[in-house]
Amino acid sequence: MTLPDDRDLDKLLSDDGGEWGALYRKLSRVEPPRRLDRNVLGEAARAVHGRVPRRQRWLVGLGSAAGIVLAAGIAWHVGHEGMPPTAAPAFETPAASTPHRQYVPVQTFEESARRAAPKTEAPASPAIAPAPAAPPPPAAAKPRPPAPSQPALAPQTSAKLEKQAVATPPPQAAAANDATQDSASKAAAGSNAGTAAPPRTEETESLDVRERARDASPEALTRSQEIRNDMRMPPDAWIRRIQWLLDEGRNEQAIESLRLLRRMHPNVELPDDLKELQ
Amino acid sequence: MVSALPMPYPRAMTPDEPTDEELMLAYAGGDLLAFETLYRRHRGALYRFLLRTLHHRADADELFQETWSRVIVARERYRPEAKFTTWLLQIAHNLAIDRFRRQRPQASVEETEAVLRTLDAPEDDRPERVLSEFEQRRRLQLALEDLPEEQRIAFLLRIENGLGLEEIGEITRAGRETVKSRLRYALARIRARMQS
Repeated sequence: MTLPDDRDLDKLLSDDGGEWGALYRKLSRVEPPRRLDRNVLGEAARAVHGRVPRRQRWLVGLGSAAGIVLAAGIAWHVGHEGMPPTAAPAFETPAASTPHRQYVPVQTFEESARRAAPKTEAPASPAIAPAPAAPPPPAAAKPRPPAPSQPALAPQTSAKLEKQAVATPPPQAAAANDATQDSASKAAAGSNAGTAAPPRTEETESLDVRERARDASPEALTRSQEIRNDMRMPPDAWIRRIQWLLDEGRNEQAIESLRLLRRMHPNVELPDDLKELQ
Repeated sequence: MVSALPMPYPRAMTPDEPTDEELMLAYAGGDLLAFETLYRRHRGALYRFLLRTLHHRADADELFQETWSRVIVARERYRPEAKFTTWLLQIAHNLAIDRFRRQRPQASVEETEAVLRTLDAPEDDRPERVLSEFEQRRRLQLALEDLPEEQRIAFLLRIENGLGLEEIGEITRAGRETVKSRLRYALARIRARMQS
């Protein structure tokens, strides 16, 4: 076998990719279908207006199903409470057959998601400046005046975007349709004003965690090595690391790491998003 | 030689254009128009990266949407210290790797070496010398599909997304020399395929 030498690689790494770039550009320039554009932009609009993000939808569905099963189980159990003791299973504990037991109402995942929603829109840290009282910007498809509730960068960004919008108006109407909903959570979304110059927060520390992990793994740590590294972290850092894994799309590893965390620190308080993951 | 790159990432921006990082921060603050601009900038290259990595349209559609979902959900955790394109492609890459793991085992290094031993790639041959354009496109497409995942991803991150060795290494969590090696092997395979 003859491997191409570095001249071939240098061509590939040149500005235009050399002959390889020219060859690749002969392939068709496939674009995502409009359906995906609509879905993504719609989701982006819903997210800033406080609806449950799509990522959690499967959790909501799963939670609903679990809630129904649990409710049915309790109903069945209650229905059997009036039966004579001999009908109870032999392994049932005395406490379980107490007639005056208090049942906690079943809370579905929709409810937990609803309760969790404001939290996701809350400022990332106390160091972040509070939101001004002014309302957030209106629908995205229209050119808008700079909104005072935008972060420090936003007025400048919006001004730049308005110039672009004149030249190339955004084609996606679907996102704009969603942009006028749920004004209450708009204020919450705007409460992140001042993120342009972030102080040292949980998030930056989370980046540090990632960087430390990278420093330790210039040559691609295996998944199990990474998880072993996680185990050496204090619980707080470990939790942030699991959240980061989720954000990065490494679900399997996040679940595995969470399982270990629970085993090693059974009393640690988990944030809502990780509770839902269990 | 074609002068314009297909790659949107290293594109020169006019002073009036906000950077990706500015747009992402603006979106985190509730500016939906900023997200639309960001999305328009990256939708094509991200989609082609996924489509040619997975070579399955339904999978590409699903992971494309999932990648943007992750961006949307994590918008408030984004900090401009992380370059947006690297972050975006890292999410897409991780989702693709998860998908590969579920579908089938990764080709081992030994298997890769065994295939490469059968190849011969004279250095001076130009792949486009003798083939019609249609045939070149067809063979390149097949060559990309035949590449082992790691090599295909490294090649696409370079040629479609315009990333350098360090950025590819960051996304794939591999060292610089490993990335170079993957690219060399990918070139050898593609060249062999073009000449077969």
